[in-house]
Amino acid sequence: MAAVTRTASNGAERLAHGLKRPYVAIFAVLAVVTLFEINIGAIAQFLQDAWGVVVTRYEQYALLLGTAAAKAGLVAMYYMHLRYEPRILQLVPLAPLVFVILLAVIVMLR
Amino acid sequence: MEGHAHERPGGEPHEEHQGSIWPLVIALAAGFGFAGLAFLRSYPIVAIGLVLAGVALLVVGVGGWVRQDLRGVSFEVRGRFEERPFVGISSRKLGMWIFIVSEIFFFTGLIAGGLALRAHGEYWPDPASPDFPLNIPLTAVNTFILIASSLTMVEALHAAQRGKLTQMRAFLAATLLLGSLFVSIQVVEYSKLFFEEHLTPWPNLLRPELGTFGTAFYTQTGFHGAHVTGGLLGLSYLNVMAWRGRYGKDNHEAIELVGLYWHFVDIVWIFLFPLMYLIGR
Repeated sequence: MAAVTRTASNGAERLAHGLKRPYVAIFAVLAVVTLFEINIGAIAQFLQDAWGVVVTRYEQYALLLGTAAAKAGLVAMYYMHLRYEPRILQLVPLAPLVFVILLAVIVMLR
Repeated sequence: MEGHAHERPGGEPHEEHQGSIWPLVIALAAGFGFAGLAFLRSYPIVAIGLVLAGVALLVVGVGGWVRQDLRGVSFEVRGRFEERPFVGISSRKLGMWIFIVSEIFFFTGLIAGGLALRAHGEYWPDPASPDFPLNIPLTAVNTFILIASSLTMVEALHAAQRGKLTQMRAFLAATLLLGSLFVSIQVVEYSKLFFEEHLTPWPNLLRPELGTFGTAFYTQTGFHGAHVTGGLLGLSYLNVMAWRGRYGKDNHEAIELVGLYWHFVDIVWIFLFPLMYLIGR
């Protein structure tokens, strides 16, 4: 009765029959961004020495949190196939994020 | 989940058990127990009462569940796929996602606790300074190992979907190997930090200022490492079953579900690594 939409509602399944899978490309992006993260201090130093552009410590930290969130999003969307899942399933892991943000804000403010 | 008795093929209404109360009782027991532990310092008498109530509920819950199981009460599974609102989604996959949601809550609490310690503690080491206790290059390698294991995991699923069994086994084995490598490196790192850098989960006499950082570091990376270890158990199971010929084009949901968990643990590391190793205060 409920097994009608099997392939249509399974993200991984849909990707399996597609021609190109993005897995290696995603890995390359994750690796390059991680390299950037590890060397962010040296990169900031270089920018300052070469062009006098100052990236403060806190700007670096904010950048690091941003790249982490972007990497997490890529893993969730492509490796966990969320991008290809029905909307209602995409909402499931998004629901707790409201509380994540709330908690982060409370911790920061206190 | 919720029960409206549905009809058997014969047409006669059939009463069914749509769920068991005992998992809920066990969850309540855990709630009481942990609440008690949390208040142990401030309200010891109330706390001990809560813990005892939790233990009692746990005994009742586990006992009730075992008894129900022994009586052979069965719960009719309403098919592999959900109805409204999750139409057509595999029940097991939905279950795994809801479990992951609970894990997001868990790690959010843990990381928020770490941030609070960082903001309010007296001292927090600066990753840019030479006496920063953590080994950034070693853990950077470990980070690459973990994201590589996510790639091999998703490739194992892809190979299974395509019916390429040799590839699938190779990728599953590679994932297990990379995951084991991650945990092994973490163990080596822990022992070096503990004995050589004097980074302990409590304040010690040699580097007393590192007490707060040590608590935060070991709690967060330790719980993450325990999750990776749990994932290794799942991966070991997948490897054995793959060699026995269990998985293939028509049967690979187990690989997908363990994969979801594995990638989630990878995501936790994606946040923990910069927070512990690259960001100061």
